[in-house]
Amino acid sequence: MTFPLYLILILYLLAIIFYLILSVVLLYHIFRFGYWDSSTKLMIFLYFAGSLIILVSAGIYIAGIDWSENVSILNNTEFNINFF
Amino acid sequence: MDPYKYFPDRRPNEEIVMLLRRHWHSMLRHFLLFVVEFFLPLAALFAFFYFTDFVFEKESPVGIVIILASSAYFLFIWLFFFNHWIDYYLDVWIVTNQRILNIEQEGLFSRTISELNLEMVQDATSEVKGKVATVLNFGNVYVQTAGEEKRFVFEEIPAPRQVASKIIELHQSAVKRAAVEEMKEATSKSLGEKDTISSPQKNETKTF
Repeated sequence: MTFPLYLILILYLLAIIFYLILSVVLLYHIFRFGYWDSSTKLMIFLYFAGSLIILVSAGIYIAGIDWSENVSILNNTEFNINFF
Repeated sequence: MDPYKYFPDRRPNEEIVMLLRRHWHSMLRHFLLFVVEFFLPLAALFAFFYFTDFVFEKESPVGIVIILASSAYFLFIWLFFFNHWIDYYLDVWIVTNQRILNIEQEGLFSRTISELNLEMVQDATSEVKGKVATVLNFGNVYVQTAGEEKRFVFEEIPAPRQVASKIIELHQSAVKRAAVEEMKEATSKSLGEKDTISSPQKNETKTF
């Protein structure tokens, strides 16, 4: 079976879009119903910082991959070593 | 931001006396769960690669799947922890000089607001149960009411004994204030009735 590598990237990007939508919903709740004190500001800052660290790290890694390649698995009777 | 944005229909001369949230201890278990969910898979992965001969290139498909799946996993763990914090943060009890409000965030799109006039309070009881609650001084306050909702509960709030005392004090002030206003109203009504009776007889001599 052969499939393009960028399929994995598309799945990851869909997960990120879902994550961003939920983040917007949470931020809407905090701005609509919350009280703007130091703990709120700190928590929002930590949330953005943590998310950015993970996303930027993933972005740097993704930028270094050649996504145009194809992945072939289970093509032969023997296990395809190239998968690893 | 305006502290009174919690309840937009603020009454005239209404001031916030106490703004209460659950004790930080209630967030502690979510925080510990977050730490376990964040670091345990990392530890498991390191242990797996350390104790086995399994090797992969980070540009290989397996490497890509593991790294991107881990990235998505940590993002969602972080999101769920933030969700728990918002749930904790948006659950508020507000005690003003006129009423008590219970604002409860139940999930993301469900919010319940209950209010109780201080004159309707019949009793306030504080409860501190357990070793941790005793040491950290947090517990529940039960407010018995004469209204439709028989019992108002403040859950896991700090210094419950002081909160219960304050509610009783505010209730007594509210009852006194209501009695004074009632008297004023009754007096002004009776004065108004006397004026309407005396006004047709203009020649009557008034004695003081």
